[in-house]
Amino acid sequence: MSEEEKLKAALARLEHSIRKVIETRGYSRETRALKLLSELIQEQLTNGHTRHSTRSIR
Amino acid sequence: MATLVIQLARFGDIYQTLPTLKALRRTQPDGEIHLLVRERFAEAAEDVARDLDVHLHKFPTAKILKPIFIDKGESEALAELEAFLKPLKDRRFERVINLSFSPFSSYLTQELDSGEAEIRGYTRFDDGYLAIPDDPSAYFYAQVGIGKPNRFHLTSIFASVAGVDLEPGDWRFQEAFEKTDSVIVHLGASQAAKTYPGELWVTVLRDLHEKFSGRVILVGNTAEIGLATSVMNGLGDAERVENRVGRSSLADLWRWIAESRLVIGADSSPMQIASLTGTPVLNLSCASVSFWETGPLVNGSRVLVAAEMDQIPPARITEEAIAMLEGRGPEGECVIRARDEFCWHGRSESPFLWQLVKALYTESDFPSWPNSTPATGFQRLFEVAELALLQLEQWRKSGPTPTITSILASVDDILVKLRELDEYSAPVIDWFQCQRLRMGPAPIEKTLEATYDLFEQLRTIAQVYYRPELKVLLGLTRSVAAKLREFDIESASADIEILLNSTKVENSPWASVLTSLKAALERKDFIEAADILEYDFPEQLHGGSMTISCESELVANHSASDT
Repeated sequence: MSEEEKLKAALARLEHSIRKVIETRGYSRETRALKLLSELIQEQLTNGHTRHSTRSIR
Repeated sequence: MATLVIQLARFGDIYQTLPTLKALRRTQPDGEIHLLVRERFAEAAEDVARDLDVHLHKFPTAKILKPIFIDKGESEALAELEAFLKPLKDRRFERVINLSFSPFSSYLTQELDSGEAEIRGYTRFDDGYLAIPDDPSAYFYAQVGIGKPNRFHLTSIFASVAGVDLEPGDWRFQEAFEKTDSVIVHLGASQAAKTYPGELWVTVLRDLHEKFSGRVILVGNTAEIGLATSVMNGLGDAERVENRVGRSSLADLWRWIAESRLVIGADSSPMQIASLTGTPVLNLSCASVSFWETGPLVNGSRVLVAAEMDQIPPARITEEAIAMLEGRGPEGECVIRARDEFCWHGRSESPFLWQLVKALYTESDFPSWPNSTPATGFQRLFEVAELALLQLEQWRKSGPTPTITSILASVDDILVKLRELDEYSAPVIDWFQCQRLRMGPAPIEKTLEATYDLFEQLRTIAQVYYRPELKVLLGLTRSVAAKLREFDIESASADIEILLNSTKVENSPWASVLTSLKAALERKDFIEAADILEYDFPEQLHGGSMTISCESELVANHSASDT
């Protein structure tokens, strides 16, 4: 499994967890932590090796 | 006061943040200032942070994500993330300034908000939706980016978000270096679209080597070594061209740029460093960047602009570079940085959209309508605002009904469509949508009132360019023209009087139309008078050279003719 595939798999699991937590407990401190990590991964995937400016993600 | 500045973008944005950092230090000489950047780009801020006594924090993306790469899972990644954030959270910053404008940074800002901190820049509401607490960040959200009319430079926007005004001293980062007879050329860029083709660089450098007697120094990072090698091979014997690509630290790069007379290159780090070392730049720019936002800031710099980089002829680069080195004016179409502003040389363009944006956000006046076509987009905007206000009034009286919510949903859809179709009203719609987003979670009554106020503001702005009175007047003009063509002079006379009394002359083009109309009527040439009314009047009305007086009376008395 490549690093990109591992990130995509982790992102899918995190997004599933976020949905579940929001359904049961709403947007909580726990959701915030999960969301933070998922956005960090999303940024890596979108920017691919960070050759693109992060400012393009608005 | 302890302030945390978050800048998680790349080298270029970090360089453009440094003047703001210096201004923060100037305004808080004894304050505690922290800067958070990505570990990978931290080198860009290290020297300045040390000089300004700023605590530099390096966000360890690789370390946080490592557990995922070695199959230890997200829990360990979360633990790494928490371990990095804990000391920052424990510091309980009184002010957090997020200059990153990315979703991740907004969540991070929320995480580092002690609950009592002043937050500037993107963050999150309690329900997780994007929150934009300050006006400069709202401006960025709505108006900044490729294809948008913004002309405020990113360095100014960063300073505004941080709440500081930049002074000349905030741009001085380098001891004065003695200039050498050298030109720096940066061949590469962070994106392929921003990179000038290697084969064209060969032509540029050959020509430059022939016409410029000083040294030409190629700079760049290790990823650009291949490009530099192929350019040097293509160049052949050119002893005054030195290839230093991949062989320098950032400190070396600063010094070389500070010592050089000119930097040539795309929108990239060396250009941003040049702005901090007082070195003029010949910037090669294309549609994927905006020189207004990130262009070179040293007066005397020039920008060659094309849709694609390979559309900039090599000869233009050389002739403009030589003109700059010899202190001559531009040789052709380009943008010039002069008196701390960008201005086009050899191209005229309508500043309407930019003036409209400035009017929305500053105290400046709304610009005149730029052409003779009707402001249809603003008419639709006015109508949509009226429709929404009507529904919101009904909501106040009888509560939400399926019809009201359905119509309001349609209003949202129309605004999205109108944003795509009409470039003139697009900045206003972007402003409106951003303001709506900023309202955040609140009790329904409060949201209802805030939405009503916002639609009222939208209607007022739409009325700057769309006036129902104008529509009435145009209807009346068409009606009179039709009567004159039928020689129904008696019936037309009264309406002609109304038309003349309802308008006033503001400039000569309109005066000539008025004179022509009167002359045609005196000659009893009613067909010509009808032509003037049908064709010349509307053009002058839409063009804004004629204003309407007694507007309310006109609408009250003649709305029936608006059919």
